[in-house]
Amino acid sequence: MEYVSPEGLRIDGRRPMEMRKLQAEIGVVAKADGSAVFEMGNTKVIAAVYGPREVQNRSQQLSDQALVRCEYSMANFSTGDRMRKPKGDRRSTEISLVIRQTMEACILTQLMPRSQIDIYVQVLQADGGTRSACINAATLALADAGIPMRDFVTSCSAGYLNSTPLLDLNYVEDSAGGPDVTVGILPKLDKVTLLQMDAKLPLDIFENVMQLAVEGCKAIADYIREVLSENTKQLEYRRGL
Amino acid sequence: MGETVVEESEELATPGDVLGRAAEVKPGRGAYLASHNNLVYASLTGRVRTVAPPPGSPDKRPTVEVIGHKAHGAVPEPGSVVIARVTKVLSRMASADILCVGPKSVREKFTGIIRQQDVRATEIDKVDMHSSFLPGDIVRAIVLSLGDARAYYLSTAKNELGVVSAESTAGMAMEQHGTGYCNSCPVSQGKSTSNRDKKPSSVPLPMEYTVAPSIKTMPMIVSLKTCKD
Repeated sequence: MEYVSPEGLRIDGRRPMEMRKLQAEIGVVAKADGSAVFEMGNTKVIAAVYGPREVQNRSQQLSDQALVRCEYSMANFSTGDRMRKPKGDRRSTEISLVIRQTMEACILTQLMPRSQIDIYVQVLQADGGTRSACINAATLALADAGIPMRDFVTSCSAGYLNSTPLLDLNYVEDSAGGPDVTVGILPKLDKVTLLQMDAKLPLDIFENVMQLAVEGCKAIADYIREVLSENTKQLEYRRGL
Repeated sequence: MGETVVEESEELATPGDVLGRAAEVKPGRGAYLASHNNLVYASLTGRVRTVAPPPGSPDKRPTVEVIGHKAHGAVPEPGSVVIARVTKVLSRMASADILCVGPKSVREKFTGIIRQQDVRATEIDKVDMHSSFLPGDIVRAIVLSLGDARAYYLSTAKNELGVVSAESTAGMAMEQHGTGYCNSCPVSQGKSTSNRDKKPSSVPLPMEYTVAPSIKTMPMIVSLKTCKD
């Protein structure tokens, strides 16, 4: 099947280096300490953060840093066919672990010993790149909760189909069986916290594809920064400052 | 003593923004120092605030802080004065639920312990816990330390600390006489020999206390109006 037309357009009309439309909203879950909805094209994800709060399971308490817990689940209605087991299956467990490790690397956990930070992410609409959307939503929710972080973590995926590196794969392109590289970076500090790939790629092409994903991450970071600044200004305006 | 000069800029910082070099500024709350390149970065989203160094200190660097917009609940720190309600009285210690830290009420439950030796400053081995505290008393105490995994360690061994408000066995608020509470309650009348002998000296209370008339079966009804943040 042709994923990139001879004119250089993808199935949804994007150019190979074009990302999908981003949209984010903060403070959507009133009860949570921080929350955010993040959309990348048709993929829509909601994240809620609770913490820092007292550790519920004393045996897991860490005396010198905060405990970060993460749970990833997909809503039943998020994919084309209704899902039977939205969480507890292997893929969800793996993605929960991945998101936890990624966020733990950027939270300043030593400032909050003996406490717990819970991150819940749920996919409302899945159209490829759910892992990246979840990480971006979790970053926004953590920033909304006022949890100190080293830097944002932004994530984006990139692939290689029809001999062209493609940025931000959607579901159809993802299911094509080509390589899918997911990168998570700390944009200002220029450090990689997540790097995953399925399928195989020769090393030189891999470098191109990874570089493309990193640039996508930086673009998302600019957008996230803008959303947070706008949100802070709105809050100050409402408080009358 | 001169006031520290605080300067709030119009700048909004987000996590990861560079606030200065370690040689020029000190990281305060909402900022951190990255040791690998000696730069001070922001860790919260908010306005940047620069606080001048205190006039007598050897370190001439100003402190840079980021003021976030989220108000976190109060957490007891060693040295802070707390208001707590006594829940359990044993022979060597009393257990209390911390209600407020300073003027702010807490959002989560914190437990404190007042040990026998921390009840008062004199004759600490002759303290009778049951005559000093009863479950339901409101005490003002100071946090000694973070304590063990279960509770903070509190102390009432100062003039201005101790039982602030209590109910008699008949359910009426007790009045303070002299150096202790005597059971001079209009209903039961008569002095009981077990005085709650901790009375804080007259210090203006930060909150208003209202004591509702209680039913004998209900253990404890004292409502506190506190300034919630």
